[in-house]
Order: sequence, then structure tokens, then C-alpha cells
Amino acid sequence: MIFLALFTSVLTVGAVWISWRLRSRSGCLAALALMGVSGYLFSHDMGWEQGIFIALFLPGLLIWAAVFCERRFKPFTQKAPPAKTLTVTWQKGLSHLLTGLVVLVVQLALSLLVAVAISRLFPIAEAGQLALCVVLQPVIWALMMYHYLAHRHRFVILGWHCALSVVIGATLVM
Amino acid sequence: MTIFSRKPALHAHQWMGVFLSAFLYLVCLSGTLVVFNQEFERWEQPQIAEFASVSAEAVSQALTTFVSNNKEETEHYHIVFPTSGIPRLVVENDHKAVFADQQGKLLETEAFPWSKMLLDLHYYLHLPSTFGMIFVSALGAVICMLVVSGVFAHKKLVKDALKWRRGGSGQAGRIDLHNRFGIWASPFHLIIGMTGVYFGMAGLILTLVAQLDHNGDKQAVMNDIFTPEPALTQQAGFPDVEKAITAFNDMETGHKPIFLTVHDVGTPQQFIEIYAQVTNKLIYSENYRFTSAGDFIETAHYDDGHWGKQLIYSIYRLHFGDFAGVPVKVLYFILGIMLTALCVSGMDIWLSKQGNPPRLSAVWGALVWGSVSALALTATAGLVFSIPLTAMFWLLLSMGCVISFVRPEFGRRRWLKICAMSVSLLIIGYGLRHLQAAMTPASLQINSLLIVFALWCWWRAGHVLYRR
Repeated sequence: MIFLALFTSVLTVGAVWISWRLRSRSGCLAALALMGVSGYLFSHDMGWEQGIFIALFLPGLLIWAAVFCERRFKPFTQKAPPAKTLTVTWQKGLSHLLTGLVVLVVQLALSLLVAVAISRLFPIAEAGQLALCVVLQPVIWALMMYHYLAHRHRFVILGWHCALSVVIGATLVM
Repeated sequence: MTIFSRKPALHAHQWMGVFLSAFLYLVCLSGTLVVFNQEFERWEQPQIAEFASVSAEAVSQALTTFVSNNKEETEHYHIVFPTSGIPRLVVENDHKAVFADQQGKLLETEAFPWSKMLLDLHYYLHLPSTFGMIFVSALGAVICMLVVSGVFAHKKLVKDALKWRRGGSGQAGRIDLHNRFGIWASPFHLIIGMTGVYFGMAGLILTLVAQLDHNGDKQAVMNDIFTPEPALTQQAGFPDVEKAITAFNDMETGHKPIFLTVHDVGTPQQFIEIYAQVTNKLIYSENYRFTSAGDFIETAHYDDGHWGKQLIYSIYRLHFGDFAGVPVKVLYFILGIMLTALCVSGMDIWLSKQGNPPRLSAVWGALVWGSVSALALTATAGLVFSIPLTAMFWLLLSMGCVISFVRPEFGRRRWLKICAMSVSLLIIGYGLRHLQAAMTPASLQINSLLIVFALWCWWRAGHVLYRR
């Protein structure tokens, strides 16, 4: 069964490759279906928990056969572009440091508060709430980081994050 | 323009990737190597006898001899079985670990300082443990954020899905490789990031929940997730591990024993716990508990307990790829190399866009290849001298960065050659130090990879891009 599962993973990558070359959406759907089948077959031998992750990770490796075949080559140029010196100012450095502190410290605290509060809203056993919190917290933190860094008005965004955390966090003490 | 359009996404991706590049690289590099941590432990002491199974009598014999030789106060005894992933028998207390042979006769003391140093680099970046672990966990969330922003930053995600333009100035190929690594291995990166966050955040979540629900009593929260210890009141004699192991074997659970712990040594609460791997699940183990006399009490219900308990107990194996044996370890290792290469290529792309500032580019090259050389040289030194390896690693790495800062012409070509030479030196030193033992499977599985890596570094140093 494991060899059949491996073969199905290879077929998944093959379907991706063909669909990419033909620009066809149906090939892509076939690849998704094949990935599901490989997940099922891996699960049959290794249990569903392990099988799903193997089926999910393996194409990330196998796809390199297709990438390798599609590579294009032109001669390397020996001429290196002229080197430039990077200008660094104290002001710039401090602003980067502040941004780092916000995403790594402040948003850690906010995401922790939000994740714990959200997970406790679910009417499930404490072990389930904690597991949910463990899964949610990195997702919330990553999205907060992205929202903060991608926005032009960062302190407004930070204000929104704080407000959201206070509102959701209030459910913890109610 | 929304925050999900290309420009803001690229800005967020770039800022985070560049600002934390050095830390991300070190954590990813050490994490990739740590996948083979058990193999590295075996490699550090290749002369130790290896076997696939051991009898309950031999285990009992080993523990009895160990306890009579080591009378210092301890709260635990541990016995690591040859089915743990390392085919050796180890007996230990809270202070010392000693190998034993298949008959239970004690051999030499366990010592794997380099593997420990590597593990600590991955867990804490060698910072004070609590702070270091939280910081490394934050990098897990950063990886998740980089995956999300990377997807939005990609203008032609589908069109470029299999593209790899090699040649030219090298920049196009670098960008393509970065994008291909990032997109195709993104499920792996996300899982590694999310599970990585858990190790540092668990303590903080626990503290917060304990404060909210149990007046700050963390043990009460722990008892909700991890099964509490059995309440025993018995005459604590010498633990009958032979009877416990025999009883476990008679249960025919199909689970693979990893290790055995005697808890609360010498107290009325003393009990024996056998941790056994459930081969078709991700949970770390199912635990079988026995009284001090070796009578079965209960399991800890990790295998059939609440889903939340199972999920939390599965994170370790999922993060480190420690399930389904060597094939999965190899898969994690290769995907880990991709994640590490993603950090390096990301910074390279940024440096190139900045016009390759000489000093910064040189220091980055020194960090990337210098850290690999420093790991190899540290391992070599560890073969001969008993020195603090952590200090030596950071000293070598700092020296490399300073040299590259002062002399920016000390570029990647030289670093690759230094890397090849450092690894070669390690292989030669290892052969001289261990002589015949260097031909055991424990040695060859690592050394053959090291030889391939040294040859690759030397070959890569001659690449046209590094000649200019």
C-alpha cells in the first residue's frame, strides 16, 4: 500500500506539471483529488495523523523533478554590478528596533490574550480549549504581524489591535 | 490598494525577513541538523554496543548495578530502551547516564556535548533558557507570517509555479529558487512555524490560564492536559522494573517502548512509568504506569484520551519529524534545507537589490558559511579537548564575521573552501580519534554525508558566480 501511496504522490506532481503546461484548471483539480487519494493510502498504512502530513509534505519535494525539467539557462555574466554602500542612521535603526519590539513583544501579548479568550468561548473541555489556543495563537500572531507591517499607518493598526484585544480579553474576566 | 496587494505584502515580507534573517538562519540550520539528533548522539560515541532488543532481566540487572554504584540523591531513575530510536541501553538518574550492554553490564558514561550544544542552539539560540525559548518560538510565528506575506507578494504565483531561470547575473535564478522553495514547501513551513511557537508559548498560556481559573496553580492546569501522577501510599522498596517490563510485554500493546522512568524515588509515591511509542499516531507516547512492586495501575490515556490532550502531545513529533522512522527524517531534513536556503536566498536577494553593500554582504556570507564551519570545528575540538563548545562556537562565528567586516574581499568563495576544509578536518580527526569504531554504522551514516557535503562545498566554491 505504501508504494501505491508513493506512486499516487508522483501522479499528483505529474498532474500539477501537466496542468501547468496546458494552463488547465481541471488538471489542477485532478492533482488535488490525487493528493487526497495519496493521503488516504498513506493513512491506511501509517494512521491518518501521519498519513495526512506525509501526503501534504511529499509533493513539496517531488515537484523539484518538474522544476528541474522546466529550468532555463543562459550564460552567467562575469560582470558584477558596482557595489553600493548602505546608509544607516541612528534614527532609522531605532525605528526598526521599535518595529521589532512591537511585533515580537507587544503582539505576542495581544495574540496570547486574544487566542486564550477566543478558545475559552468554545463550550468544550479545558484540554480542547488549550489545544485550540495552541493552534490559534501562532495564526493570530502571524496575521497581526502582517497587518501591522503591511499597513502604512502602523500605530493606527496597533491601536486597533489593542482595542480588539481589550474587547475580546474582557470576556476572560466577565 | 489593500494590504493583500503585492507592494505592502512584499514590504512586510522584506522587513521581517531582513530584520530577523540571522536568527532565522541559525534556528533553521540547527533545526535541520537536529532532525538527526539521535544519529548525532550515536556518532559522538560510536564504540558503544548496539542491539535491537533487551530482556527485562538485563534491564533490571543494569539498574541494580547502576544504583549500587551511584548512591547520590535523585528523584528519578530513567532507563532508555534500544527501541527508542537509538539502539542502545542507557541507565540514568538526575545526575549521570551510563550505557549498558545487552546483558545489563554497565559500560561507559554517556556524553554527547556537541549534540547537546546543537540542540541548545535550536531551542534557545544559547540565550538564557526561558527568554531564549520564547524568542525562538517567536521566530516560528515569523515563519508563518513570512509564508502568508510571501504568497501575497508573489505577482505571478501560478504562471511562475515551475519556473527556474538560471544563469545571467544569478539574481533571477535566486528569486526563482526562493519562490519555488517558499511556495511548494509552504505546508511544511507553516506546520514547522506553528508547532515551533508552542514550545515557548506553552508556559505563557499555562500561566495565563492558571491565573484565570486556578488562582495561579499551574499544576492544576497541567493535570487537565497531562494525566496527573497516581496517588499511592505504599512501602517504597527497590523498584521492580523487571516485573513491570514483563507485564508490559505480556499486554502485547503493539507499542514500542521508548524509555522507563521511576518517579519519586524512595518515597511512598514511587511508581514506574513506561513510555511507549504508538506507531500509527503522532502522540509522543502512551504511558503505562506500575506500582513500585511492578503491578499495573493504569495508562495515562494519551492514545485514547481527549482530542485536545492528543493534539498537544503530538506537537513534538510533528515538529521534529520523529515519526515513521528514517524516511520521514530524510524528508524533514531535505525540506529543512529548503527552509534554510529560503532564509539565505531571501537575504541574498535583498542584498543584491541594495547593490551588494560590500561589508554587509561579506558579513552575511561569513554568518551563513562561517556558522557551518564553526559547527564543524567545534565538533573537531570536542573530539580532543573537554572545552565549553557553546563559547567556542560563538567565538569562531564572531571571529569570522569580524574578519569579513574588516576585509570584505573575504567573500563566499573563501568561506566555502573554509567550510570544505573544516568538515574534512572533522572527518580526519574523527577517524583518528575513533579508529575502528569509525567504521560502525553509527559513524558511517553521518561521515558519509559529511564527505559529500565537503566535496559539494569545494565544488561550489569554483562556481562562476563566486569567481568575480
